[in-house]
Amino acid sequence: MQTLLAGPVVVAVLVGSTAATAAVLLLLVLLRVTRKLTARRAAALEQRTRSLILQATVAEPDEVESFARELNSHGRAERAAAEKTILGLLVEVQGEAAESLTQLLEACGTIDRAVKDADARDAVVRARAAEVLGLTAGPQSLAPLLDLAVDPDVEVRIVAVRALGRTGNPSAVRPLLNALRSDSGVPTTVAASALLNLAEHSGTAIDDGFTDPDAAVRRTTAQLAGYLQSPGASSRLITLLGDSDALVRQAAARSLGQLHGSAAIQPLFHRAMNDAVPAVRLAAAHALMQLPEAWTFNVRTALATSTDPEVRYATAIWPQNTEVKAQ
Amino acid sequence: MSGKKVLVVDDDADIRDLVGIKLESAGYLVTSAHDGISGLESASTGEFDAVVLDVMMPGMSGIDVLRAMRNAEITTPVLLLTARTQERDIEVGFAVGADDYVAKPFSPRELLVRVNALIARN
Repeated sequence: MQTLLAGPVVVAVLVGSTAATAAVLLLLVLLRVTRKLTARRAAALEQRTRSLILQATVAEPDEVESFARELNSHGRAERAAAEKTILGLLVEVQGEAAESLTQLLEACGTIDRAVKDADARDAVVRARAAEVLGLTAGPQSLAPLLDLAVDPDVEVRIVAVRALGRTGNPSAVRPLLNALRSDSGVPTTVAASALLNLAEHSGTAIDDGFTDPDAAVRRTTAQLAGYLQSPGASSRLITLLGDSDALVRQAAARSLGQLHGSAAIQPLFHRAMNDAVPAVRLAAAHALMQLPEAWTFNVRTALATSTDPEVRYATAIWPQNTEVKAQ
Repeated sequence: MSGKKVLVVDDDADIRDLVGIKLESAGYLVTSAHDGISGLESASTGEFDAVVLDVMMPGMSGIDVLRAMRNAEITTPVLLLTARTQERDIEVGFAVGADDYVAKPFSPRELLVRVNALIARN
């Protein structure tokens, strides 16, 4: 009996699985066609406004308003597509061109919408709002971005922190320093880049970071001071050479090597000879070797007598110079 | 600068066209190439007064194109378009024969001024 039933069962299973496979294949084809059609429609929409946007970007400032009006006369779907092109270009250009693009976004209502979306329930919408507000970086961007920098969602915070770096506003310094804290969830590189961007373009001081209770903030501030060649940072960095955290002392030593201040010689020499942590001794020795030779002749000679072989090695290129000096 | 010919090589269509429109507004005759290989082919004709060359392109990069141009003794002045964060590209670019560079994000107005200066110098 079992043998008799086996044949039809196998046939039924085969027919069933073939039908299921065909259905899955059909579904895949449909999905692919739909995706292609959607992409084609989006490209067609973008194409309708693209030329206008490109011309507006390189137009004279007094001509942009008419382009903005023209863009605004397009339908909602076209304006939404235009938004994508404009935001893509905003990443690549600056100056008048960026201002023109921002004006176009205003005409599309994108900036007002982003300000509203900063309070949206959906984290993805808030992150997008932060992105738009950062790229346009107008006066209306700051308040919502400061809120988004402490958003409960870490992804939103990351986008907002990056965006704050573009605002050029000194009020962004404190939130960016907070983002450097070890418990902020924001990657240090993101917060440090934003801070560097802000300080470089606005000349904003980041001094608060030197005395922050969090060692991660002090360490990155010390590093940034070296990159920024901040005037007046030397004395703060010299103070940080005595910090309780070894990584902070190391960062301070490295930056002092970049700042080229003669006041740092003795504190660096003291660290190179006496710090309890080998990495700090080495960083201090390297920093001294970066300072002008005329200032450091005596300390370099003394470093060569250090009990730390790494420090002696750091001064290994020194003997040739000694001979030159001795002559 | 009316009638001078400039080749713009960039894989990003928006940037390529943006630079093209800006240069054309100043009277240049602009030819575009969408990748390194077609850019090199165009540059090899030697008919251009300047080349605006994006560094970061898939496949043959701007630096590869520039190196190949200089190896083939094509002396057309080249302005590199490079990312602000890629300082190494600038260093390598000058080493292989770039004449100037503009870092992204860039100002189209500044780019035009630099192309003008590049052509005037040569």
